Amino acid sequence: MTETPASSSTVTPNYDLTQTISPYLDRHLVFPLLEFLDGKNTYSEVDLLKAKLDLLDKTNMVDFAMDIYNKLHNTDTPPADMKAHRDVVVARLKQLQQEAGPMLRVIENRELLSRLRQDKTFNLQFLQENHEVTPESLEALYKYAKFQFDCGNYAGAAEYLFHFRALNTNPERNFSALWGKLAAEILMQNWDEALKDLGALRELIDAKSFTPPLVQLQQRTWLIHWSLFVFFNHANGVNLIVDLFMQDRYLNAIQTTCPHVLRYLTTAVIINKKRRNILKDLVKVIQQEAYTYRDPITEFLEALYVNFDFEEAHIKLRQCDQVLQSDFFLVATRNDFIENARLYIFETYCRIHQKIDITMLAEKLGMEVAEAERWIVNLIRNARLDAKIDSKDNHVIMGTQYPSVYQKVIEKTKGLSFRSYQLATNLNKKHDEPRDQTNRFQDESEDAGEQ
Amino acid sequence: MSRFFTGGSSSDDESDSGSDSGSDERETKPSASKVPSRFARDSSSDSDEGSGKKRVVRSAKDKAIEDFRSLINTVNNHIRINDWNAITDDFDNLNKLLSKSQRVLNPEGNRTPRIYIRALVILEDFIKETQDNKDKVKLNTLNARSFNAMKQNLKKHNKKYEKELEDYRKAPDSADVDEKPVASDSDEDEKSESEDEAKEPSDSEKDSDSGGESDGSSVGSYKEEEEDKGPSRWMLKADTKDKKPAEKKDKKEKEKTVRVTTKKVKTDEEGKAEKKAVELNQEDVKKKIKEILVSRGKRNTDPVKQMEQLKELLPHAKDPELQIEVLTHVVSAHFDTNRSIATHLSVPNWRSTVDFLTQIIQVLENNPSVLLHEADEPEPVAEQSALGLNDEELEGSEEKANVPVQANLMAFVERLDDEYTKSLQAIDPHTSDYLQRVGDEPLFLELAERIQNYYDSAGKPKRVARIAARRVEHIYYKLERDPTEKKPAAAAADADAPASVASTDAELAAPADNAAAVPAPTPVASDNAEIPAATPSKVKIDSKAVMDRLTSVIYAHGDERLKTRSMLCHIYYHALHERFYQARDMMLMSHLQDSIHHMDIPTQILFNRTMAQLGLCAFRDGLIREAHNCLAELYAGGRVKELLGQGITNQRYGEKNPEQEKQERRRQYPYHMHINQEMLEAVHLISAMLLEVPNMALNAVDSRKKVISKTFRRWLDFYDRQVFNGPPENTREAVIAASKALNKGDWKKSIELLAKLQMWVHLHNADNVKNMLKRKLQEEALRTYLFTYSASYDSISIEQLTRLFELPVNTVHSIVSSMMISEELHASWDQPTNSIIMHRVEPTHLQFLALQFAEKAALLVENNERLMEMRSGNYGYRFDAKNQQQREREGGRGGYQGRGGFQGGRGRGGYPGGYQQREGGFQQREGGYQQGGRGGYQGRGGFQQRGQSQRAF
Repeated sequence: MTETPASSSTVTPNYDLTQTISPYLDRHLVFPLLEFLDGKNTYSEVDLLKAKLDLLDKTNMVDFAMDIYNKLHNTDTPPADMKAHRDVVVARLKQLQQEAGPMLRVIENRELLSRLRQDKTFNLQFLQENHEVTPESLEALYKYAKFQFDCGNYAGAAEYLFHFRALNTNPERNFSALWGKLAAEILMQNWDEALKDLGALRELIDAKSFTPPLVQLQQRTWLIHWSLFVFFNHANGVNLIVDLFMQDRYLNAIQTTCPHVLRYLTTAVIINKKRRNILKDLVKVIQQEAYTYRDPITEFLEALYVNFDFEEAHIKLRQCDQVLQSDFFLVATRNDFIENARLYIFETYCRIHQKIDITMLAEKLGMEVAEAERWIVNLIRNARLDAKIDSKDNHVIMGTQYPSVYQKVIEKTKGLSFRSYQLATNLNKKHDEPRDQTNRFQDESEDAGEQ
Repeated sequence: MSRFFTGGSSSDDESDSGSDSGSDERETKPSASKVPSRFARDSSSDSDEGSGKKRVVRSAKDKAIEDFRSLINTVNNHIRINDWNAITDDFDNLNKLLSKSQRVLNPEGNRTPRIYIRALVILEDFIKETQDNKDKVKLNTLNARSFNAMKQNLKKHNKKYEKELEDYRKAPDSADVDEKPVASDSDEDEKSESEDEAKEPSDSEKDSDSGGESDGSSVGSYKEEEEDKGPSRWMLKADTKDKKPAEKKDKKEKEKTVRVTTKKVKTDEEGKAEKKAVELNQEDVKKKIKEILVSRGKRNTDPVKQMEQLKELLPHAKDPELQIEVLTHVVSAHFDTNRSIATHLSVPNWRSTVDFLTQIIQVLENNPSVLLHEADEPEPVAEQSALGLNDEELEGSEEKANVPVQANLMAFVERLDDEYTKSLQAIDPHTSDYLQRVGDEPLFLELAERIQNYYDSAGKPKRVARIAARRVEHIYYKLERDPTEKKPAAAAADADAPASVASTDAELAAPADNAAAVPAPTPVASDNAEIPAATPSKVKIDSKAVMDRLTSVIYAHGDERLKTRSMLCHIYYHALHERFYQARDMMLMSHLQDSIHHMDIPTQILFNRTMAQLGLCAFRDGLIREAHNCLAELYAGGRVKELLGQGITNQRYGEKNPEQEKQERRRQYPYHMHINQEMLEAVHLISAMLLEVPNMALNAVDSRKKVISKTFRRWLDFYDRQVFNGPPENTREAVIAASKALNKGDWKKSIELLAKLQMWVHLHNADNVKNMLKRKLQEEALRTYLFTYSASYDSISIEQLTRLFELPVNTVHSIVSSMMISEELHASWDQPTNSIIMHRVEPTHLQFLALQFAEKAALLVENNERLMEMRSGNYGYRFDAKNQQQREREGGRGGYQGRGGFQGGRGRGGYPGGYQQREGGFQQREGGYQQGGRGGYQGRGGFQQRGQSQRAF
């Protein structure tokens, strides 16, 4: 589907995943990544341009390619083969357009389309009978859409593919059409639509149980990567990404083929306050994969939750900041991340301390003392924290909470009466022959239950 | 055991009774119908001839011989009725007679009469047979006593005649050996004689063959013998052959037709060949081959002789196809010399087999136009499968079906490999013979590689895979050193080994010219893993590449068993080279743990070896829990040796029958491939200690709660029960003593004790591992200390802890913190003073009682449930409750079934190209792997599975 852009730079950019990710993306999807890198100085401009050119080479966006070529070589005359290519593209476009003609006519006629929709006659059979649409022209529509997509006309491609999917019956074609549509929606930044497609695609992949596992794995891997676009741009994406990636199958895929995605998953979990509970599982996964993939973000969690090394966590947090800033997907989440990470550190810290010096704390959190104090007070007031401030010594004193004996007793006896009851009913149900015995059992168990 | 009562027609033709009567004597054919007189005539014929020429005093000598003969006769009679008393007497008589006739028969006094030797051989054979069949043939007490006496006696007695006996056995044929140079030793001499030599016996054999398979009558009785599977098992093959005389005929005819067709093709070459008048022409060679072959496998053909004959034909075969054919038959004849599954092909024979195979492949390489014939005849199939009887039965016959007519190189290679292994099993590993034998490996590897390449170019991937598998099994257990590190390491190894090693190595290097690794196993250090192969670096450097290449071929083309085996070898190889994660992932991806119980036993043993190696690797890497998980299973049953195929454990309950024992012997790994037992045990115990000691301290109150290593606990209990404990003497005691020290927080003593262990010698990066171990001990000592003594402290400063355990502040902080978080330690930090404040949660008396009360109530309910379960036979409510609990436990602790070791299949891809069922694997994987600070419970599931795997043996 795609290939790695040949961006080989002399300075290995730290923690930049563009090269790792791009093999899993469509050519067109790599573009935004490269555009993003443009402003970051991680790679030299020439390399980036070359990469872009490489990328465009196999697409039909010849004009754009020529522009870049000119920029790269500082000329005004693009090479002849590019021009030739352009002619070919145009010719091909015309041809496809003609082939798909009948179909296009139907689609472009809005009125007709809505009427057909209403009558529920927007199906191949009806069209075949009334609008000279043949299966061939439907096929041509698919090709035309693909071609449009290659030319950079994403909107058109998306629309054609939508109609194509409505009419088409071949599941394979449908499947690839859906991929195409997803890509188009993503490139148009049409996140709601993209999300819908993503869901559909996911179902399709999971439903195709007969495909060989290797192919399935591959498709999931693609889906995981493509979905990054959607999730980090959609309003509810942070929740959805956790839901999706923490599913066994996807987690599996991540571990098997693309452990680097853990960065995104980790970030999503950290910035998502509602998903605390997953943290534990995530840490396990990170530890497992630590030998194949690590970056400051995963290391941050590791430092915090495995080694309880707060110094280290701080160093990592600072590195995380850089990583986030230079990551296409994560750049928007930076503030959230820092804020939440700080909170995590603080919470963990509090859990194992009973007295903390505020000055030290402020230093650790990277805040002014007064600000830190305010922050803590806020936490206490919001009942997130059971603590008091000793303002004379400038200390925070944590309240200790241990399971009281009462709780322990309650815990221990909680299920007992239910169990006894259950026992009795089971006895009644299954053994109604020897009456006396059962009664004895019942009595006993009820005794026990009362205690 | 009337081996002389042969009914062979050959006994009559005196002219060349050489080979015939010789093989007659070898045969075991009790045929009561044949009378002694016949025998007398027979033996008289050859001994007459044999001794006739030299001796001067003919009549006296004849008389003596006559006496001998009659004595032997009686011996034979007694043998038949199994009367050992009488045999003992006979033996005495025999000796008397010998001394009496010494003067007559052997005036020079330097030779023992042959006939006497023969008598000894008869006796020896019979004793051996009786020995083997001991449990079948019941002797009465008196008889048994004299049998034993006889056995001892004869053994002692025969020492004197060892050489003669040997000679006789080698060439039992006769007296004419006395005159001619011993046939079996002559390799290239007698070229001139060769013609008639070769012709005559084969002629006669042909006669005997066409003479209606003289053994027709004796087949029945012969089979009887065959059933007891004694040493006479070697007859098996001959038997199958004999059963199909008709087929034989067919084959002959078919061969003829084939020949005819090939002849046409080669007429021009023949023309060339005929230029040399001395040489046989090709047609003759073919005819001769045919003649020789006809008698192949017959009871009265001597494979050694046949081999010689074929060899002599060799120079006459000019065109490659014929050469290959002859060579093939020579190789087959070599293999024929050892027909027993229990014994191995003699080493010189083995080497010359390699030579001939090398010649074959040479011819094939030089003449790419020559193609091995694919078998369209059924006959060679039968032949091959008869040949392959010794091979594992698993090698399906259907694969044999498309065997080339002329040379089944693959079968040869496999047979060669089997013989090699067998010989290693048989040779005492502490001798220099063994070292030399190990040095033969490169020969084999080189040959296998060439043949593999040949098959590769011939486009037969299946065969390539099978040969590759053989090669893999010879490579995987060798440790490849860093080129930089190699020199000193090799030197060290040489220093370890006795001087003889070096010399043998040197002399081996010559024949094995550009050959591969010559591992130099030091007789003392059995750990092959650590034994560096002092070798030319050329082959060594890319051993990984070779391994990868070979295995990928196998994954692509091998059958299920091959794939599994080479997968295991590959994992082993990775583990050996410190690539733990890679090895682990492969292990998990292949889901071998789920399916290994359905595999054959040798593969299971290989699996065990792999697990052991994986455990060692994890340990070297500092992954204690993984190491323990890998090894715990192996040590659960206490039959490690058996599980690893490194020795036979005496079973406490019941004897094994000899058949089982033999099988087990066949499964043994050659000594140089062994995994050092002592190291394995030490690693297992140390990792168990590191996990168990803090765990015990944590659950000091109720120890039944969580047990990580049952084995370790058992030894610890054993130690505790002792009234006095002396200083540790073996590995186990040392580790137990170390853990006692660790339990008290005395890590220094602990490390001291462990440092004395033998195992460090065999670890190649011992220093690193020791450092790792020290660190771990410090950490675990810290944990144990805190668990045990936290009650006695109100607060501890972190400095004190760092001082006590010599750990950096950071580490102490993180260890203590994680203990706090997981609520193992009820304490918290006091940041301003940098100390740990203990929170004692001591309940009041009332609270304590309340807790106890609650506990008892719970117990009551549980008992009720159990009662009901018992009465009703079903689980009633309890069943659900149990499940629920279990589920809770699983949730809390992250999987608990499919724990132990790598039980949990990790749903990773498959091996390259394989990629098997990966869905749903992950849940298990979590269980199998990291259990945060918690857990480590040797899961119940784990134990059950273990049990099964043992039972499978």
